Amino acid sequence: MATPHISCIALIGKKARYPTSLNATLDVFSSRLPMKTNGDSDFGMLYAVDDTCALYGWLTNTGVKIVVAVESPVGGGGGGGGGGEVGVFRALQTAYIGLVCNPFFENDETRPITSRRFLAEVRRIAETWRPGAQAAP
Amino acid sequence: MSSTKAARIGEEVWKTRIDKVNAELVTLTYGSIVAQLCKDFEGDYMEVNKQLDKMGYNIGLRLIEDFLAKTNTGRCANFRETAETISKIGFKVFLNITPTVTNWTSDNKQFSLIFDENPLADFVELPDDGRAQNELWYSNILCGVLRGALEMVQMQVDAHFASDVLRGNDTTEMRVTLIRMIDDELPPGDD
Repeated sequence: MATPHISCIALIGKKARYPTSLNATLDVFSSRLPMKTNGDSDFGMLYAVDDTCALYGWLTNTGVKIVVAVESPVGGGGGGGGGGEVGVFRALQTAYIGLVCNPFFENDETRPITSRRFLAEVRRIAETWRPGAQAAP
Repeated sequence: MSSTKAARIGEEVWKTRIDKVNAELVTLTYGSIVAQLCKDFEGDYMEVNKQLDKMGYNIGLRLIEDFLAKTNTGRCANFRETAETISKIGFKVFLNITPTVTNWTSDNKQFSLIFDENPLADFVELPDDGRAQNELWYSNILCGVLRGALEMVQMQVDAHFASDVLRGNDTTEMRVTLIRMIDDELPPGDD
């Protein structure tokens, strides 16, 4: 793919233990938290994995962390997102609200989310995202 | 009463005489009732349907008084008029929706309500246990409400859902059948 695109989206609950390299981003969340004074959820770029991939973060007030990996073959430290991530995070948060408002949803943060509707929506958000664009509603 | 007149009354009453509550409050409250019933009856969805219908019936018995007082509607001349009143005034003032009345049988005793929107079912995704999709009628309380309310105005009806978008169907459809008009019975020992 020639343009930057989203290669991975992760939602991390408060109690979850996540056994992958995403652990590194969690430390960034906690180290930056004391400096966040404006109540903003956007943590911006957390971590550049390599030249082509960067991780962006978002933290809701309930402690749910959303991490989006943007892959950008053009390079440049992986900062190819161009500011369009906020729209993605808002779309993901809306999808998450829809998930937790389902009365049959059991919020067990130690287990992966299995809702088909939610997973399809997250996939749609990732696949329709383009750099600099607001995410589709 | 024509369909457009019913729509006008529904709109008017909705605007001027109805106290509004937050939609999410209703949706989440109803959702937690259904989810709790599913837990209490350990996934016996047939029983959950029955309980929801019964709860609705008890609501309908009471709600009809409020409905008649707020809307000032008189007796319907026929069942077709009843159907329009249910959709354009009843559902309008209580849920701010107007399900489509359609699929009449030739004897004018059976019709369908098609729900394009259903505030009760917002956010809902049925449990993925292989049974809920075939057995649970999530909004079944509405059937009971109609049954109870109509019984209070001398109509014995059967109301049940025939399809539900929550189950993956294209539409949400409730089938309503007039069984009989209940004759006004004289109070016992009063002759």
